[in-house]
Amino acid sequence: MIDDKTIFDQAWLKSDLTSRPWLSAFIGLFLLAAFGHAQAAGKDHDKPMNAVANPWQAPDTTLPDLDGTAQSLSQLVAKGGVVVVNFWASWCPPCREEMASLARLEQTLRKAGDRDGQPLARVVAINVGEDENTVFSFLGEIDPMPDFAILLDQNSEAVDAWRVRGLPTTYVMDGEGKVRYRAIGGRDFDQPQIARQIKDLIQ
Amino acid sequence: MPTKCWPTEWWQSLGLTVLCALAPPALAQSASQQGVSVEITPLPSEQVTAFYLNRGFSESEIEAYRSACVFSVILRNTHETAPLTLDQSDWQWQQADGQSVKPKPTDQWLAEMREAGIAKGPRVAFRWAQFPAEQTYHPKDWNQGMLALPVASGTELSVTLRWQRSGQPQTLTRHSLTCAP
Repeated sequence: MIDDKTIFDQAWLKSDLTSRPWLSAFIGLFLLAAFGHAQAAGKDHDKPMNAVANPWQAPDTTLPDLDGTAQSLSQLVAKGGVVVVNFWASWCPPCREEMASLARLEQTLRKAGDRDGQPLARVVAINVGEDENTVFSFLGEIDPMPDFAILLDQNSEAVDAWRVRGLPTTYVMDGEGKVRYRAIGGRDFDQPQIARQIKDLIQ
Repeated sequence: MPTKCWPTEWWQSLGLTVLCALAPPALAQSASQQGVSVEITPLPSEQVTAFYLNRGFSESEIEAYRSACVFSVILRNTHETAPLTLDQSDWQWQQADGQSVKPKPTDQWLAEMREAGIAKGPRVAFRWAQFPAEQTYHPKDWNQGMLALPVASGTELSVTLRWQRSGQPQTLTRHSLTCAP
């Protein structure tokens, strides 16, 4: 419903725009700036993980998985894959909260395909400081239960080599083993923008 | 994801601002300015003890820490574009009488725990449960962790948080933080 005041305001604006071209130009510039800002903000919102300004070579990390088998991140990358590396602990609230969405991200990434039987992108979660039993018991509570590789960093060697300063921290390595994205603190990995950021790295 | 007073969209911001304004006052103090959001909550010693007992400490091993004034700190970079860098040693904690007090650094706690023969597993958990001493937060980054001040329960404190953004120092001060019993 348009009331008298609205009509009055519109009439004022119309008369002012025709009689004062500078006002028209000012409003035009303002709208342009506002649109630019909204675009920039939208662009940032589209990138939930932060791009690393100077991508650095990820440290070669070899750790036991839950079966005790040594797994090397560099071998995973040598197969051409993009790897999401998540550092976590079961007692850390944001780590617990993001784990189910990380499991769903793995399922989404699997659909990106494979090369010679190896996935083009995958998730690897590195647990900091806990034993197999604690990790197993926690994973059983997660729905969907994560079926990506879980490695155990019981002596904090990997977490230090990766320069992690707080949990959770997540990195994305490209196919050449360079760290391209980083997220400190929990994220909702269900955000489609995250899968898009990762898929864009697939060569 | 965080469900506390933390919007991610403008419409959530509107709704949560109203909800947060209506929420009853709690022990936690939160503040948001200059693209930084901080929540500081005093942790009761029973809660601290329970957390570390579950991480493998014995009661006697965590006695010194739980006797201190422990806060949970959540800090987020809410700026659209600019990172911020902080060094926790720049933060200034003051008692009501103006006397300065500093949290004991995590490295010092860990050294004392090592000397006391506390096992590696609990020490690793302790290390990562503390608020980071230094960190660079890009947009949307955040951390949650504990810190402990060597003052008695019931002590009233204020803190001036300092950080650098685009080479410029910025601060945020919180008053009337009371150590939990």
